[in-house]
Amino acid sequence: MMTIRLPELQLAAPFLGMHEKGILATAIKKLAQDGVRVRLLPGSLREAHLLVFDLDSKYGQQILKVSRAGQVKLVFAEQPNHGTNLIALAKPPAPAALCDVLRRLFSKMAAQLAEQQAATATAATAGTQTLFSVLLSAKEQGEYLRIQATGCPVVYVDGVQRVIATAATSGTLRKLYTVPFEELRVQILTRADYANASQGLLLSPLYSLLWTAGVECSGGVLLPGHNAYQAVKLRAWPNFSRDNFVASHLKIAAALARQPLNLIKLAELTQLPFEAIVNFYNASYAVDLIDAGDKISAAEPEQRSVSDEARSLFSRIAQRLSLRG
Amino acid sequence: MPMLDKIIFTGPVGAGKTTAIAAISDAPPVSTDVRCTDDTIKMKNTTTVAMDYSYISLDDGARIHLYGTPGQERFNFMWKILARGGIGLVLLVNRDNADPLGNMEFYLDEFDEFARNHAVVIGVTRSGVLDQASIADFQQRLYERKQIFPVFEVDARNSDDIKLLVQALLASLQH
Ligand SMILES: Nc1nc2c(ncn2[C@@H]2O[C@H](COP(=O)(O)OP(=O)(O)O)[C@@H](O)[C@H]2O)c(=O)[nH]1
Ligand SMILES: [Mg+2]
Repeated sequence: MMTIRLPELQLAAPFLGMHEKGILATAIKKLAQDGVRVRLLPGSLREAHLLVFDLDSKYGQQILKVSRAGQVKLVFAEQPNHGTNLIALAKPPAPAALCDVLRRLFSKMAAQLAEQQAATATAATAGTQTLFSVLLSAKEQGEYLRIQATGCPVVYVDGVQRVIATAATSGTLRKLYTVPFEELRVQILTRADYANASQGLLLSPLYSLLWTAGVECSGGVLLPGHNAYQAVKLRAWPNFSRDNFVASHLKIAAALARQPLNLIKLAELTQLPFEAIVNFYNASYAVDLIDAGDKISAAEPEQRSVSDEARSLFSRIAQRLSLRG
Repeated sequence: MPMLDKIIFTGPVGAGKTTAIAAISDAPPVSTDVRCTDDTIKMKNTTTVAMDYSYISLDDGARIHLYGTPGQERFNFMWKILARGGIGLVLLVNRDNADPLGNMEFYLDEFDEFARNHAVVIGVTRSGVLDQASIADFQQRLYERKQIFPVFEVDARNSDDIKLLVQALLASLQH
C-alpha cells in the first residue's frame, strides 16, 4: 500500500537581507502552527518550489534568469510588478501579506498533490479491494454479501438494514480482517438469497464490523475524495469495546469530539502517526460519525488548562485501571 | 483547586452502579452517609444521603474514591459537593428499561452544572435482544444536546468495560 506524502512548500531565499530573512522565518513559524508546511532549503536553488529574493539587489535579475520556468518567484521590489510565476511584494514586505502568499501557494500545492495521490490511489486500489472497501460499498450501495474465510463461520451482510447475520463470535470474526483479502470469498447475493441463507442467524450491527475493518484495513490511505486539510469533527464517540480497545483511539476521539480539526493538525495535536489518524478517520467516516463543512462551527474551543499535577494523577489512574491488567 | 480524588457513578436503580464500583475497586463497596449542604437556597438545608462507597489505590498510595448515588432522587443539590474534588461522572443507563434515552437525559439535566466543567462518560448496560434504543439513538440524543460525551455498550460486571469508561473519562479531560 502506498502512504500519503505530506505536502511541503520548499523555498530558497538566495542573498536575502537579514531583515527580510527574519520576517520570512517568522512567517514560516507562524504558518507551521496552522499545519502549513513551509521549509527553507539551505542553498539549493534548483530543487526549491519557490524562490524568494530581492529583485532590486545586485543579484536580483541574475537569479531571475537562472531560475527554472516552473519555479515560482516571490520577489521584494520597489516597483511591484507581476508576471508569469512571479509574485511581487512591496518593500519592506508586510508579514501578513507574506503569510498570505505562502499560504495560498501551499494550498495550491496541497490540492495538486491530493489530486495526484487520489488518482494514483484509485489506480492502485482499483484491483485491490479490502474487507473495508467491500463492506463500505455494501453499505453505500445497499448490497447483500456473503463473506467467508477459513476458520470463521459465514458472514452475511445486509447493506440495507445495516446488519450482519452470522454464527461467528467477535473472536472468530477477527479472521476476516487479519487474513489477506485474497483469502476471503466474497459474493454479492440477491435479497431473496440473503433472506434464505441468513435465516435463524443472530443479527448484529454492521457498523461495529465496518468500524473495525476501517481501522484494520485502511493501511494509512485516506478514502478517495477525502482531504487531509478539511476540518472535521466527531458527531459522536465510536462505540469502543474491550475487544477492540486501542488506547490511542481514546486520545484521537477526545480531541476530535471537542473541536473541529483537519487531519494534519489532529496528528500534530495527538502526536500520533498520520497513518493512525487516517485509519481512525476512515473508520469513523464509514459509520457516519464525521461532520464536515457547514455542519461544524469554526468557533475555537475554550482552551483547557490541565495542570501538570492533574495530568500526572490522571496517568496514574489510567495506569492503575489499564485494561487486561 | 481542591485535590482531585473522586469519581461519581450515577444512573437509575438497577443500572449497575454498585456492580461497576465493585468491578474495579480494591474493596467491596459499602454504604456510607454523605452530608450534603445546599447553600443555593436561603435557608440552609442539610441532607444526609447514603451513597455506595469504595476506592482504588494508586502506586504512590493515594486513593481515588468511588461514590455511587442512591435511589431515585433529585441530585441537582449535590453537584457542588461533587464538584469539589470530582474528577468526572460515570453515568450508567440500563437498556432493558421503558425509556433509556429519557433516563439518560434526566441524569444529564440533574448533573448539568457539574457536566459543564467536568468530564462525563455514559455506559449503556444490560443490553439484550429486546433493546429499546440502539447506541446510535444515544449518540443522536447527545448530538442534539451538543454534549459529545463518550457512550459505550458495557457490562457493569466486567471490569475491563468499567475501566474503559474511566479511561475515556480521563482522555476527554486531557485532549
Ligand atoms: N445482564 C447484565 N446484568 C447487569 C449488568 N450490570 C449490572 N447487572 C446486574 O443488574 C443488577 C443491578 O445492579 P446494581 O449494581 O445493583 O445496580 P445499581 O442499582 O445501579 O447499584 C445486578 O444483579 C447486576 O448483577 C449488565 O450490564 N448486564
Ligand atoms: Mg446499588
